[in-house]
Amino acid sequence: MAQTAFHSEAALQRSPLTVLDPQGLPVEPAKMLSMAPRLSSLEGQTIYLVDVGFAGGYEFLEEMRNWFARRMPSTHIVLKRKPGNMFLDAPELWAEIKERAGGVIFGVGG
Amino acid sequence: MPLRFSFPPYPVVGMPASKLREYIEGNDPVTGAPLMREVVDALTKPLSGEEAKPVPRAVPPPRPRLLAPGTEENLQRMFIESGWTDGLPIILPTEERVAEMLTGTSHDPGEIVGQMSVAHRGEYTAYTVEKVAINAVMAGARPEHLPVILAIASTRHPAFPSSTTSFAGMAIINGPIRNEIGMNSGLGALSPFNFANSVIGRAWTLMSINLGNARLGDTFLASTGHNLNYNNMCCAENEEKSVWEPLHVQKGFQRNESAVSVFRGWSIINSMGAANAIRPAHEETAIMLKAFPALRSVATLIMDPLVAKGLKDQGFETKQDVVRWLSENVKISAGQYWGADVIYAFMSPLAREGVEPYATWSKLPKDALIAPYNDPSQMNIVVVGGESNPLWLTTDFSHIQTASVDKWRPEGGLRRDARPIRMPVPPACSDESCGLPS
Repeated sequence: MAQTAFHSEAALQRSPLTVLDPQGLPVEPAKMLSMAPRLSSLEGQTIYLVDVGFAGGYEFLEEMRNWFARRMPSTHIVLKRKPGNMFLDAPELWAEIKERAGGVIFGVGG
Repeated sequence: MPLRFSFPPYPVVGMPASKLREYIEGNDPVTGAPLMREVVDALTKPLSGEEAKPVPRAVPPPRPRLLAPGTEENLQRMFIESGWTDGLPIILPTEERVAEMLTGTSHDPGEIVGQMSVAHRGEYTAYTVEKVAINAVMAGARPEHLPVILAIASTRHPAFPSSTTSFAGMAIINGPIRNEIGMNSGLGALSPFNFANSVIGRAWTLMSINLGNARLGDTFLASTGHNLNYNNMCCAENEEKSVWEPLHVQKGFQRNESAVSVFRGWSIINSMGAANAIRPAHEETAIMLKAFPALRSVATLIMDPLVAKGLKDQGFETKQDVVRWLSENVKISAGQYWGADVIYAFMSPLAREGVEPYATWSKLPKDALIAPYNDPSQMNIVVVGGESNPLWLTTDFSHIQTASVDKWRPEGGLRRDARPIRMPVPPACSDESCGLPS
């Protein structure tokens, strides 16, 4: 065990030490927003599938689009790649979804 | 805000369509429920009260500055078991030790240095000069090292941001501080034979854990992890032996200023053989660089001064001359480039948006050759080593930031111990040539 200018090894073992907390300080947490109201059903709705950009995500969502075509054909699916990489905002796409879609599914996290 | 998540089996990358279809038709491996039923429910099931009107989250109350007293043995155990260390014993940050460490700077202990998180866009924690000093004590540092450690902390970059891809970091120190605190830039500079290199590098690791809030399996998800995370390739540039401009001067500092440059990457290839044995270093480097994805054209070479001298003798007057040559001469096939996962993730969106040269490259046949290191300003050279042989490291590290060390020095000069701790240094030759050609 280390020996310092302040404590002999024997003293370290004998007496309780008081030490400082090494962890960072909490900051203002993210503001919580309400979720959008849910749809009563997906019948006749337009749903966007948005690939956020991790490899394999687009292909996964293609299969999800196929699932909707097989199981819920009245739901109109729009499959999109998010512009930019997965860490960038895409306000134009968000505005398009707000205007044209009843709901959105993002995938797949990496 | 609250979100509704479902989980397919993972990973999805590289899976045939039939397997992805199985995933879609199958269950969420976390909940065991049918995946698509969950997805449809997520869109249609009425919101809960919390989802419709989430309770604002309050700032967590500050933790006490001091931990409950304990014996040396119990506190060592608590630090390790709390996940506050790198798995190795630490120097316990007693009040006296932290107070002594704080003599290493004139900045107020309560001054906020920054915020950090190992999780990209994760929740950050703030840290003060005192918090940095606590972690510096834990790493085994002395007050003379604190200005460099504070400079690293001031970049706000963790040494290992969380990514399943397992990042590594590198810290290169330039300027007079290198010799003032006995850093090694020469023989074995990247090996564990120098006190300052070791404790400064370790302090960055501990700050990343404690100030960057790294918790394995929660905020930190590196698949294999990276052994460089223990020390982060912390060393000094060998300015005395380099034939080129020091790194920090390239980044806008004066030669007589001290600065730390932080880098991030994944991969290192050791040249293994000497330059000019058969091929010159720049041609050998061009071969090695083909192994990397060339993401955003980044690469960093860490070369022994003998390699730099050899390149200069061959007409490369500056570091920029070398990286310009590499930028023009490293060629890989378009198929190799676009086949890399990180290129898919970060460069494909640019190609789709018409950004050149990526848009053109994306339309080329797979066997067409491209020069993927198209931006030599993203390529760096650091001269490190002891001139025992013209060897070098080729990395995919990117330069993130260069920060002032001098800003954090104490008034009245660096706070050094009466007898500063120094590890054994290699014997020097009287004429400094060691029988090697100049």
